[in-house]
Amino acid sequence: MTSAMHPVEKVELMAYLDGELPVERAADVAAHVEQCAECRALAADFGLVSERMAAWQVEPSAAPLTERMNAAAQKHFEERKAREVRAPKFLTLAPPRPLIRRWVWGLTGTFAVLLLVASISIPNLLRSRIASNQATHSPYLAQMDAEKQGGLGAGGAPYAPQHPPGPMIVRTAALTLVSKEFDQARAAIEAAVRQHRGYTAQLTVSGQAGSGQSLTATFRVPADQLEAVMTELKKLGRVEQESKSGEEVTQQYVDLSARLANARRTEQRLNQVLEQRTGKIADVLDVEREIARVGGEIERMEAQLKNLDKQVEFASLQVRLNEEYKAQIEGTPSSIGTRLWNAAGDGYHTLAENLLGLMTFLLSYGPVLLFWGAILYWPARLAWRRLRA
Amino acid sequence: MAPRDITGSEKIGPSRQPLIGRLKVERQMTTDEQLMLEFQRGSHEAFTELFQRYRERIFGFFRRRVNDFASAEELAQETFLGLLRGVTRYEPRALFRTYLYGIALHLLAAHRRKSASRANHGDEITPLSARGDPDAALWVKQAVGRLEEDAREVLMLREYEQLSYTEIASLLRVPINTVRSRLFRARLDLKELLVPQRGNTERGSR
Repeated sequence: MTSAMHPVEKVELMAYLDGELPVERAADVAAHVEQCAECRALAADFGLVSERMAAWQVEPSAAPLTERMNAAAQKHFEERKAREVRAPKFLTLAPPRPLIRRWVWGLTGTFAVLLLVASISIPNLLRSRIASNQATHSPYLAQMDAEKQGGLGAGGAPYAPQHPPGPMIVRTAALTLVSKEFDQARAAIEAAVRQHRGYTAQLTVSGQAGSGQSLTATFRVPADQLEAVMTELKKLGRVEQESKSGEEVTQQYVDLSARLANARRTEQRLNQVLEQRTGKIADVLDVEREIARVGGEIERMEAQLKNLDKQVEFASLQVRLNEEYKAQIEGTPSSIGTRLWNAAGDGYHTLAENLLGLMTFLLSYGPVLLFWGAILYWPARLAWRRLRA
Repeated sequence: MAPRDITGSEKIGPSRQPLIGRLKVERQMTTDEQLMLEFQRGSHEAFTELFQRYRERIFGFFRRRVNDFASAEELAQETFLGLLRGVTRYEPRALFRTYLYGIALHLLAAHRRKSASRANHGDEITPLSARGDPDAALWVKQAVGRLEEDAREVLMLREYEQLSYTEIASLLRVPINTVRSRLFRARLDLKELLVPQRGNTERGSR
């Protein structure tokens, strides 16, 4: 009974009888069966079972089945022919339906991908378009500015209350640069400013461990030199930000000049009054007080004019210089543990974020998904059954 | 197990299967798979030939598994209609026979689900054997009906549909070793059911 005594398992014997053993194994089994009475008995049993089972025969199918099938086949082939006539040649080469379906799927997929790409790239494109517009715009502005400044630079009588020769514009510019060689760039900036007869109004350098140094400075450069200085500075590093503005102060200047002229005339008249004094001493004192007041006003207005002149003459240039930070390997010898710790912390946070995100998603979309799932389950099941039928 | 050829052509065994031998001769002319491909390309003749080859076998398949003639006929018709409808889906990877019996099994399962409330097959017997001994047929049918369902299906596919182990395995979606063990069990059980009643005179019960 057991296979330990028996080199051929009974299941194997059955497979042999069924012709289901590979040739080489079948020969072994055949040789064994020759000698083994038990196996022969089992083989006889199997034979008997098959023989008995063969007694269960069924009547042949009736003619209507064949007739109905013939009719169905006729209809099928006619429909197919009709489809082939309608469909173009290439569709009939492959099975028509799945091809169309695949084609539709492909088109839908392509469309979806295009939509995705478009939705990502169009805002970017627009942004770069705007950026380039600005870029093309600024040289034009710069040229205009240069012309205006050229006109202005010729006539500059700072203290005299006279009409300015052209529009007076107070220029300010700001430039943010990133440079790898911080010290070199800083020296070059200062040299450029000096070379163009500018000066430093304010300058701060700061630097923190773990990041590069940065410099913030305000320079004053002659307005007609501003463009040249900026061009030079821009060569020193990558420009991160650049801005320029101009404030028209002509009106203010004219106004101030007129008021100054008036004040001077008042002062003159008061002086004349004082020289030809005929009144009482109280009147004289009043006049002197008035002269002092007007004198103060004149000085203030002169200072304002001077300031305006200077602002117009010297443009203000704000420069921010950042050092491009390079992580230093030798600077962080002991931080492997810390970094692992930080990474573990990050991992934990990411996991928490992810789980939270998933939960948020499930909470916000779960009801909808359940709703649609419930609605679509039966049709989908039906379709699946149909497909498999 | 060594890989086998599913047509079983390279296997040897006792030549007790005249039916298989006959089928092989048929297939040497034009295989079912070739016919199926022709049918896919639109050949009406190929379909007719396939129908002729399998009409009785598919009808018999259902006739042994459902109780009434009309249902068997309807299911056989449905099987071939399924073949017509699904012709574009057929891929020559599968043996045509496996494919066709796959459709038939699927329809049978659906039919059984529908008539699950009714009595189990094998209980109400309509004697049906046109050829051979009607008593013997009824007796075998009852005995087969008493087998466990899994084992019975394997045994019937083997004995009546003459399918190979590999074909049965892929149809029932079970490993080939499961097919072998179920078949073995079914045959021993059936022997117990069949042999003691009649076999007492022929063989002693072991």
